[in-house]
Amino acid sequence: MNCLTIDQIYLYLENELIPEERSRLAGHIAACEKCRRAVEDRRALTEAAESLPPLPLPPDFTQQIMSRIFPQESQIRVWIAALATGFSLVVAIFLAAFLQSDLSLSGAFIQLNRSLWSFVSNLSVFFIKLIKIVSLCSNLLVQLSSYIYKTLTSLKSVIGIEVQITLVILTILLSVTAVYGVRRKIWSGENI
Amino acid sequence: MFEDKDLVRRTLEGEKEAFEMIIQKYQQPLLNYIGRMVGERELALDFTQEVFIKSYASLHTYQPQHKFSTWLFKIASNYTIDYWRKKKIDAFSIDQTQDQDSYRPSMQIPSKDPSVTEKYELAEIREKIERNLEKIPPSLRELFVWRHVNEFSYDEIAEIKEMPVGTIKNKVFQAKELLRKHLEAEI
Repeated sequence: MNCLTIDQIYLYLENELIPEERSRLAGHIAACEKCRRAVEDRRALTEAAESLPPLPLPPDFTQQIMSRIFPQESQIRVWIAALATGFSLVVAIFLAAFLQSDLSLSGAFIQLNRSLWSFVSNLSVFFIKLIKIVSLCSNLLVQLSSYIYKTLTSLKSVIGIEVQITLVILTILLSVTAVYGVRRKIWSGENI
Repeated sequence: MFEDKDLVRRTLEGEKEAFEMIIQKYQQPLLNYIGRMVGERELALDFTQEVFIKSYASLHTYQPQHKFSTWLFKIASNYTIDYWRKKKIDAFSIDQTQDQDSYRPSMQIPSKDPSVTEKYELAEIREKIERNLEKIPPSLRELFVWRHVNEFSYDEIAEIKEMPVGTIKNKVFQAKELLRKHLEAEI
């Protein structure tokens, strides 16, 4: 018989031939050195291809994919759980207070209402003070930065970089101290 | 071990741990395929994640009469084709490859057919294969990787590509012979 074609070699190697054809080709391969070498060469290449190493996966790869697929769902679950816990805690405190007091149910609700209003008004005062502090600090910082910039620009040609850095650090320290002092004054109720 | 179809059903019922098991099962085979297609590890990792995200989003379209692995790899293949298209390398159609790629392996064993394997150890041949894989057109490389790295049967590859088994076999042989040609050039 004639020598094998390339397709016949691959079909032979992959057991894709009917038994009669396979044994006919096997007989020729045994007798023909050229075909035997060609078959062995392609067999080695196929074996090498089939044993290529897997590409390395990062250890947390599955979790990376899961967090990309379920990011919002997990956040929503955390929020729902936190809200449910907070609500349950409030209800439990209310019930405990109600059971230990001599108040009627309507009296307890009135008391709860007063407490809530008191909490809300305290919270409002806190936020107003917080906004005032933030506003004062930002104004102070803007003014200070502007002053530092102008000073450094004018002194640039006179003093070296080391002195400039020292001056900047000192200014920052002074600013922090000033902000801290202002905050203390506000909390103690004094006017600036 | 759970069947893929059960895992898909449980995922669709809202059990996200079931999809986690699907990821654990297929992340390595997908990375092995995509990595050999795009050639860069970081890009391959990113693409593998995207394929899982896409497959999760379209899981309701999966039909259980088909193998889940072929469905998943079809998504991966389409994603990779999009990548090549965006790179303006329109070399992914199997039909086009025949026209674009002038190389067709000879049907006969050439009279001068040097062995590309007998001089080298197995590890060296593997390393040469990895290096030369990118020289094969993507459409042929894809079939080669599925057949010899992912170890899909010709029927499975034919199902993914929706092509006759005979055509797929010829293309895989063509890919192997082309790879062999590149290895031969290195001798």
